Amino acid sequence: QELRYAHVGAEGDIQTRYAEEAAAGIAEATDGEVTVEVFPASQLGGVSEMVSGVQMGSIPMGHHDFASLAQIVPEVSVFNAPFIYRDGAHALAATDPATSPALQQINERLVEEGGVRIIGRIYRGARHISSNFEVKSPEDLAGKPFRAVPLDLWVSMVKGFGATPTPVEVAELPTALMTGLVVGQENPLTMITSNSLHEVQSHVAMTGHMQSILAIFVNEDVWQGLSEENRAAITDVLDAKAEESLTWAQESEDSLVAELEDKGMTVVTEEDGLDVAAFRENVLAQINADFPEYQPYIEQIMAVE
Amino acid sequence: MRKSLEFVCVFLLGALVAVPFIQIIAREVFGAAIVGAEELTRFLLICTVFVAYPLVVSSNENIVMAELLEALPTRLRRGIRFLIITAGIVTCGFLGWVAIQNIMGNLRGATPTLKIPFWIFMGATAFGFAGACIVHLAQLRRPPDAQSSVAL
Amino acid sequence: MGIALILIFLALFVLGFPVVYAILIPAIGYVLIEGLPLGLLTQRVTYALDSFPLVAVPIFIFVGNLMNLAGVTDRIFRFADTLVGRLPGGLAQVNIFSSLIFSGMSGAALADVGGLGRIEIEAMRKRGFSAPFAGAVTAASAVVGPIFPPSIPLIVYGSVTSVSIVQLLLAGIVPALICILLLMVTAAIIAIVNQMPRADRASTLREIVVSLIPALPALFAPVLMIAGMLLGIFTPTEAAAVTVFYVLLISGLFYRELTWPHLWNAMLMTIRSTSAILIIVAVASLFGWILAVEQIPQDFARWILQFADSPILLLMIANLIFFIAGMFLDSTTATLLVVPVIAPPMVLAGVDPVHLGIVVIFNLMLGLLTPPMGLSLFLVCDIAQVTLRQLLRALLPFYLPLLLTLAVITFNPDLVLWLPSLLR
Ligand code: NA
Ligand code: NA
Repeated sequence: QELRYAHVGAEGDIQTRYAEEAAAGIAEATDGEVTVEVFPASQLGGVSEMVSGVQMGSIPMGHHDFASLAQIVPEVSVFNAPFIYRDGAHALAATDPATSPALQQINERLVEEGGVRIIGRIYRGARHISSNFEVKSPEDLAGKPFRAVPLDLWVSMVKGFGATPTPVEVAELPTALMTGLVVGQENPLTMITSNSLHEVQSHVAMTGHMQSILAIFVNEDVWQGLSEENRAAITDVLDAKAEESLTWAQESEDSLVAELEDKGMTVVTEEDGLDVAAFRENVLAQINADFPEYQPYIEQIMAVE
Repeated sequence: MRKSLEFVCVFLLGALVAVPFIQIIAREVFGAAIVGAEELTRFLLICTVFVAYPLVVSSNENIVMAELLEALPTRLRRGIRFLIITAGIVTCGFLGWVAIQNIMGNLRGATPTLKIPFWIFMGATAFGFAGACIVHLAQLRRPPDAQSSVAL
Repeated sequence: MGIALILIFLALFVLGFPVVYAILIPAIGYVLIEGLPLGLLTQRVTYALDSFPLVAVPIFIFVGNLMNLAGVTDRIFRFADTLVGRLPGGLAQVNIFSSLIFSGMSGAALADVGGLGRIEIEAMRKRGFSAPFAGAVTAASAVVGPIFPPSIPLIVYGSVTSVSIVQLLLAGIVPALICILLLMVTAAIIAIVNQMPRADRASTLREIVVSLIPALPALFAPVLMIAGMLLGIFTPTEAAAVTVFYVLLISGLFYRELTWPHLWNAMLMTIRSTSAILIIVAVASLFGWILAVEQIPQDFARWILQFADSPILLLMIANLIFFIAGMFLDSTTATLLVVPVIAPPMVLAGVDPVHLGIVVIFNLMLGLLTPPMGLSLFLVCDIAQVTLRQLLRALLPFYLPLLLTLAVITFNPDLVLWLPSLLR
């Protein structure tokens, strides 16, 4: 059986490597009974189209932020919430479809209400703040226009940073930062180098406010149409690759910090006086106020070892 | 019928122009961008394009290369014109039906920020194609004159 | 299978089927044969328009319609007359120069021909120019409309390729100026050879100022828009909305020719044009989805890359492909169907995506001047009351400056990228 696998990641991104290697691994693990054909870089459409496609079955599987599935079950966004994971390993453990209670509850609802199932995840590194001045605490961002992904969760988080959430398209982000339409943005470091944001930004604050973790989801009918052995084999491949993605991300983060400093950016860490605790407190307070329904899931996630 | 459709379209276009303008004022004068303004504008664009499509068909303004067709002998030209209108009826009717099936099926989602339900978007698509199908049906009785180009 | 789809599309298109159905018929057939969920059809068609940059398309069409109805166009023409009417070629130079000013507010070539073109052709005929020559100058100068910002084709290109639209718009400024300069030189040479009329004396400074003042609001529009984008006050799409309010404001305050029925008609025209263009954007993305699943772009990319791997060679190939595409397809259809196939391998091989965008759009604008599908040509024939054959003969010398501009921008990426590079 041949499965189309869509995602929006570009060449060189961890998620693109993950999809390619997982596809090869699945063909091998199922002795060629299941082959996966990967369509990267939005070839089969943007995010909401991809999710609808998986629901409908025109695209059997794909991956993206957990929050992209919020059009089926709004609470799934909780896995993208800022400051809820201790580190990358914790993020992987708390999103394991086989063991995480929070994920299992939400997965049941995804299957029930949307015909979509989460079967794996990808770790893509921590997200940090970049800006064109030094940022050490939420006060430094007070009242300043800051780029927000136009989703409730991001808007709430940027408010928690103390800044004014301002939506900007990804393609216009470098120009918007250059012209001062927004004074800062937050993303994994790999995105800063691949989009040359170091040319328009002077500082990186290593807040690590979000663990960028992506969900791999599949159309439920397609999934149930596979034999039990093949399902198990696929899950094993995805799990092993998830662990690998953690290693890739951690290795690349160290080299990216060096690269950005090389290119003249000032990297601010906790040792330099970055007040991560203040960010955590403000952001979590804002999230709790805006999304009381996340509370039970956040507790379950934080309890995962 | 046509008048009221025109009225709806003019309203949609007016809103489409006004929302980005209001966004600039909100951001630059009041210092607070309206989150979801882009989403609303995109929504208005989808609705404008599909709701107005029956008007395009009835004004015979679809983009087309008619050079070869015009050069053909009259009888052959009439035959192909008939074929084109029939294709329009079948295609638009089919897509209108699929869009309605879509709405009645599992289309439960909503846009991420403003929670505009997807069935409204799909409703515009269904209306546009179903409406165009009806206009094409009318053209079967009274074939339109030569193609007029779009006014840009 | 993919090739069959393309052939069916081309066959229906050439037979005179509207582009929408020429695309939809093979696409629906594919979905039925492959047994894909039918919902794919309508979801893909609907979501394709879920794009913020595309919002600028109706707004700039609206601006063009408003300007022509509100009397902005007349003022531009009068001002250009006092400024360059004395140059050899007289009103031909005025015609070309007006297009440059007009292009600063309008994003479409056909808006130039349909609005400004009427005034220009009528004035030139009254002063003794032949109708085909007047039409040829009008058609050739309208090419700069979508090269100089704002530009609907560049916005569509940017939204298809995810290249920064601000960068694309800035990159168009220098090529547009070069093109205008070369066109004016050509018109001067033709006028001197054929002893064409021009103004009997140069305008006095006073006359220039008097005609400048009514044209000033129109001249100020591109300044407002570009400055606003550079200062981070608004995005390209928002700039379009600002221009609408600006035109409404100046026509209400200064020109006072816009009436409510005018406004209503301008809106209806805008709505129909928008729907006719963007419905193609919508169905083309369905076609693109199928081509992607069939791996056509990937195969094509591999195929093309084995012939050429240097950026300049690839740009030559792009020129050829898009010049031919422009002859047969309108610019939106060509951008949507051809760019996603051609651009990624070129960019991968080292062609700058912004530079490629300008080259592509310039080629597609030349397509407006080449049969069989030359929309500018048809519109000019209609306005100037000349036959296609007469018009083409008069247009022949003007292909030279246009192709020269294309060569200059193809071989000098630095020239094109100089302005946007200030923003990188
Ligand atoms: Na322009
Ligand atoms: Na002109």
